Amino acid sequence: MTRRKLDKVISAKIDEILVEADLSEALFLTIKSSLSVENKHGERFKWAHLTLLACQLVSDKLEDALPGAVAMELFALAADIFDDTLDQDNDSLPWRKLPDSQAINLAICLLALSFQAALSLTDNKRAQEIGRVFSLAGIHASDGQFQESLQTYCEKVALQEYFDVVSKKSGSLTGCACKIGSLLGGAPQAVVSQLEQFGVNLGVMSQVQNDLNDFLDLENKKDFVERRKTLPYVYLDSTLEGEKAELFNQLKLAATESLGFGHQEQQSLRELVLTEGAVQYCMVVYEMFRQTARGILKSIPVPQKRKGKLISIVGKGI
Amino acid sequence: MSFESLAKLIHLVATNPTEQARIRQVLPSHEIGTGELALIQRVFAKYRMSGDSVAAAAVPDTVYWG
Repeated sequence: MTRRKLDKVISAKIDEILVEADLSEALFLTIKSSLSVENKHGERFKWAHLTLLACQLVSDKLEDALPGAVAMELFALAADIFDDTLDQDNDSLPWRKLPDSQAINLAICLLALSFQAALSLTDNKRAQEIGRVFSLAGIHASDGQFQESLQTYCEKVALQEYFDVVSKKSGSLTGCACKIGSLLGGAPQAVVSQLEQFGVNLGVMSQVQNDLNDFLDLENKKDFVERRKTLPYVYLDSTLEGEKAELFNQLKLAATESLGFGHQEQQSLRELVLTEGAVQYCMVVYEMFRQTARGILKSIPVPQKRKGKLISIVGKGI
Repeated sequence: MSFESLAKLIHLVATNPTEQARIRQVLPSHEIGTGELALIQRVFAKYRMSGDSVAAAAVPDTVYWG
């Protein structure tokens, strides 16, 4: 089935869940508008598709995984809305046009709808199992977010701590999508675990990429100003010494105390990132997680042709 | 190799480009695998080839998902 056809099937299942929920027109339209946001490739429903791809690795019956895929899409959208509202980030997105109180209500509703979608599985035992996977992913992602928030107030964060938090915050959701897809595809337990680990690695890769790109987008993003412990920040904090460390500390101070973090300071920060190896470090660890993800896929005992789409989403090597 | 040790190594190579050729001598062999070493060398080679330093300051958009 082509991606476009799958989009229609996913969209129809979402409509079914929303209509059954008997939502007000205002909330219905807000949810539809939030779900219509496309990724950088102009595609929708990336979470549902990831879930279906994991199912496809072991089964041809994609319809079996559809309720789980839709639940995943709604669950991840709720997480995004909570995240953006807390961080006051991504102002162009539909939920950021709402007052924060409405955005929080929207996210709570999406969480409940996600459980409704999972409960639409006809096999009760399976529905319960999927519910447990969602609950655990939610717990881990929230724990990761909580720790990340605590790190913002820490003077120093170790690189290992950064990766522990990112695995929970970002890896748990991508791991959840892959686990649900493989469970609903009827994969053996060992393959379910492998695919979950594949998903965790994919989530960390995606976070590393976002961290570096957002860190350097000083005009539009607040990562540095708000001292978020993103990977370039933690790397620079861990490695700089002497005059360079002093310069980094001055830039932090200038940004947080609004002492004028202007063009010149932005240029100084970019120079530090470029000359002190932050870009290379992000690229190396990104590639390490990518290689791990590909290695996991390689070791899964299914025909190679079934792996093609999952291999392609972790992309080409550096 | 730990994330911390990797950071120190990459910082050393980034700030002293001539050290890259001496990584094997600088580090005990058990601290860095052949794969890790090759990867670091590939990343540094790609970064140098990209020329304009500001344009190079982003992870290549190699991951399709996201």
